[in-house]
Amino acid sequence: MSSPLRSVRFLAFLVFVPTLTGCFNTMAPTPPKILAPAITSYPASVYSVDVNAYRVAINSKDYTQARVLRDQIVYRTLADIESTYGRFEVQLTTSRATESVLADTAQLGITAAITVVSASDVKDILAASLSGLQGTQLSIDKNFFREKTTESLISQMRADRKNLEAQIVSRLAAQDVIPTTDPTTKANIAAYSLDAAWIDVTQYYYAGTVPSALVSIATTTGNNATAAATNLTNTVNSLVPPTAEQLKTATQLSDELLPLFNDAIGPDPTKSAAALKRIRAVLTDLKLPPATNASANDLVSALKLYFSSTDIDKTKLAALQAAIEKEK
Amino acid sequence: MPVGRVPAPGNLSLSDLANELSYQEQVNFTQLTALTSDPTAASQNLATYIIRTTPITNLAIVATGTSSPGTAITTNTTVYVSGAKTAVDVYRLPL
Repeated sequence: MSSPLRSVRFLAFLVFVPTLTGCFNTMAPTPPKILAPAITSYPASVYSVDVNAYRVAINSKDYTQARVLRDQIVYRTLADIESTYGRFEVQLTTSRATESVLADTAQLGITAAITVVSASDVKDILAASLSGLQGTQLSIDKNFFREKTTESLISQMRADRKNLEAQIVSRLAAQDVIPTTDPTTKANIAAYSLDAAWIDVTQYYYAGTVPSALVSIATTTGNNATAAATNLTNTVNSLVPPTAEQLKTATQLSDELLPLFNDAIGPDPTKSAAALKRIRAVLTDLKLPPATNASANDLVSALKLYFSSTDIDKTKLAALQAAIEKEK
Repeated sequence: MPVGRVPAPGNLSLSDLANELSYQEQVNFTQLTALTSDPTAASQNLATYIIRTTPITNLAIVATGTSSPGTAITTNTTVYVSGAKTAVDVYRLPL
């Protein structure tokens, strides 16, 4: 019994180790030394000194210096977050892929072991382990990542971060640390103090997290569904009801077209040929000339589609009526 | 060819709603079998259609209890009429 199990373990080792080591090396290139965490990070001690300098500048009403310090603090923090986030993206992709490979490898190993083990008790234990492993993997995927792919999560995080970054950068460029007035328009410009900027920076950091991306995806989906429902309601309610005359015309056309369609796709070849010739002529009159090799069903569908389109655009009804009358 | 449950306007008067549903029946070669208010959208109705292959007469929609010629399709159904929930009867008019 031990010999086959040892073989399976060895096989798993052979497949597993080179695969994983290979994956780690292909996920991201080695970062340049100037992007090393120790260089790009913004130590808390330096941050405190900068903030104190900012407060001193504000108290001494040196707003130009305060603005310089504000921008410097915010941009250094953004750079720090950016550097950390880049590594987080790689780690997220690698760790999820690694978990999947580990789980798949273990499942393959257990499945192989079940087939070679003869004792039924051991088979049962292995089968139970396999079920437990599969359940755990599904649970992690479901509860931590809500069954979203890594790519969709990263895509959402990037989009949210870009939006917030754009907001921060534009506010830093346009707003001073104290309220000002636009020299051209004389409009009041609100202050964008370091404390206000810090709120945005904090949001920027959290926009690059998995929970934030999950909420954002759910919100976007919900908003899209609500917008679609509202759009449909508005479209339906914007329909102009037919006049009595239009309804009468539609009823007459419907009564005339039904037997025409039945003949066109019916069993009688003579009636079918005549009906198809008329449908073809009507479509041509409507400036919808059919292809020479169009089938009976194609011709019937094309005319039906035109007729049903008058539900939205009732002005097309008169053209259809004229064409039907002309090709009698 | 819209068959099944199709949104219908909830902002029309009784006669305009009847005309609109009849018009849809004619141009889509369908037949109305039910009319209800849409529980998921404010001021919107849901009309249920099936495919038809024979000619059909038009519809009449009246407030519940009001007499009308024709055959009743649904009675005492609450739908949106002119934006307000109203109990109506739907009739298929005679030839």
